Amino acid sequence: MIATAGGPVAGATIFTVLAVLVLALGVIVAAVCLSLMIHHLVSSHRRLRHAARMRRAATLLAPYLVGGNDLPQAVGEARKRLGDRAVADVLRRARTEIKGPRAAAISEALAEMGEVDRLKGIAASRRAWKRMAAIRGLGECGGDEAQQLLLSAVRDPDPVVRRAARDGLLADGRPDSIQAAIGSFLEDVPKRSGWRREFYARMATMASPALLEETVAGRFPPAEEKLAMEALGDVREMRVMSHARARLSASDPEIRATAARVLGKLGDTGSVPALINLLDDSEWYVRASAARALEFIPVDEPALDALGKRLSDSVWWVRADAALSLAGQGEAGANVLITVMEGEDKYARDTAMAAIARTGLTPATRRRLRDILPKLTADPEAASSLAILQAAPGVLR
Amino acid sequence: MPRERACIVVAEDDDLTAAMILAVLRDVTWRAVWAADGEAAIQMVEQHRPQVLVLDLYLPIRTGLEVLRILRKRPDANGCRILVLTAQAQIGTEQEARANGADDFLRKPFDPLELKARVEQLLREEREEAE
Repeated sequence: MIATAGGPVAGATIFTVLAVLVLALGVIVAAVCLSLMIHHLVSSHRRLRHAARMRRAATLLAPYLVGGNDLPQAVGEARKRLGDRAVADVLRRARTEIKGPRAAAISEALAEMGEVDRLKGIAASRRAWKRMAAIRGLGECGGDEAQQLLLSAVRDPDPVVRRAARDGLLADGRPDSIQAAIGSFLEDVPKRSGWRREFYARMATMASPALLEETVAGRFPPAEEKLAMEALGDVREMRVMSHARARLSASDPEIRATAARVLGKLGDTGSVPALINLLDDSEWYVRASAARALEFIPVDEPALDALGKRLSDSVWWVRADAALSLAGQGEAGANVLITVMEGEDKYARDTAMAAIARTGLTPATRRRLRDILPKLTADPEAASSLAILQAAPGVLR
Repeated sequence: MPRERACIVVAEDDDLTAAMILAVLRDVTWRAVWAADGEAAIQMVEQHRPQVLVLDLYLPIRTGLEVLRILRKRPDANGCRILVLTAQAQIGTEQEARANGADDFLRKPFDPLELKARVEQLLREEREEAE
């Protein structure tokens, strides 16, 4: 009986222990969930309250941010009513949207309220993400003290902090800041091309004269010079034109190609003879860049003939760019394309047909195109290109 | 220049930027209204028939370029002068904006005095054309 009584007792004990363990686990999980929910609610409430304060601060301060002499008093009032954080965040955001004397006034206001000192303290943190956030904030603040801190931060051991410091120095815009940003960048030369393009794009937007000066002075190695020239072309910095013209004869073919593209973006009619020469370059991408550049520049017969010859290039890309350029030259270009379509070179013909399908035609050129249709229709190899032509609106109808 | 009765619509989704632009325009006109997205911008232009529209290209619901294209197709909105104010810096952006009917183009960060001068110039042009 003792033996049989031990079995149920042991089973009940194990069951009780298990039940207690499950209950305890359940209580722990419930406690964790509850604390996460409370944390989420409290954080959300703080975020919403901060956002509401920022909106009110923006409404209060907006007139003083864009003009007048009462910004310090307005900031003081706003700080009393809404707290330092909301006001500082609004001032920092405003400083990134505005330039000129008002930006300097906002920087002074930020320094006076101690925001720069606060960020300076965080910038000394051992954690890189905190330093990065502080450096980014200092870039938004601007001003002399922030600039000094940014100049130190370009020597930070962490690359992300250095990148944030460079962005802040570019935003500062003063010559010594720009120099320091470029120097730091060239030492780093980030391996990711996206970062590099972004750096030059930001520099071209914020400080194109400084970027131009560095490019013309030859401070950049060839791989960087390409990106610098492209960025200057993108923001239409016309003063890069003479440098780009000189670089059309560079020994590096990638520089030649970049220079051609930039001159096309700038619409430089003076570089047309040099671009025509580049249509015979030994490298296909140089020929393609020259062909594409001519799309944006009104040209006359020598250029049209040279582009027409490129429709027989051995490289498809060059043929396509030449055809697009001709299509962009209006009736004169369309006539060259139609002449090529009448020829025997099937590659050139197909390329010309694809391009002309994308361009508008005058009645005269449309008649000319219809006149050669019988010949094209008779050639079975022209069937697919002909189908595209016939389907394109406004070409044959 | 004294304040006018001209109506100006500001299409900008960022509330701080919009508040600053409206503060600049307060010196120019008594009537400046704010649209926070592209669809609201189109409705405000139809409703208020403004002389000038200050338009950001990055707008929710409808982008600034869509707003430009739609307004330029409407004969009743064609008299409105449009100033594009955007953070996008590429040459293609300005060309595309002008090709779609923008009368002027200004990049952010902007100088408040320059913005004011550009808007006043557009109002003068609009007034001269109306006369």
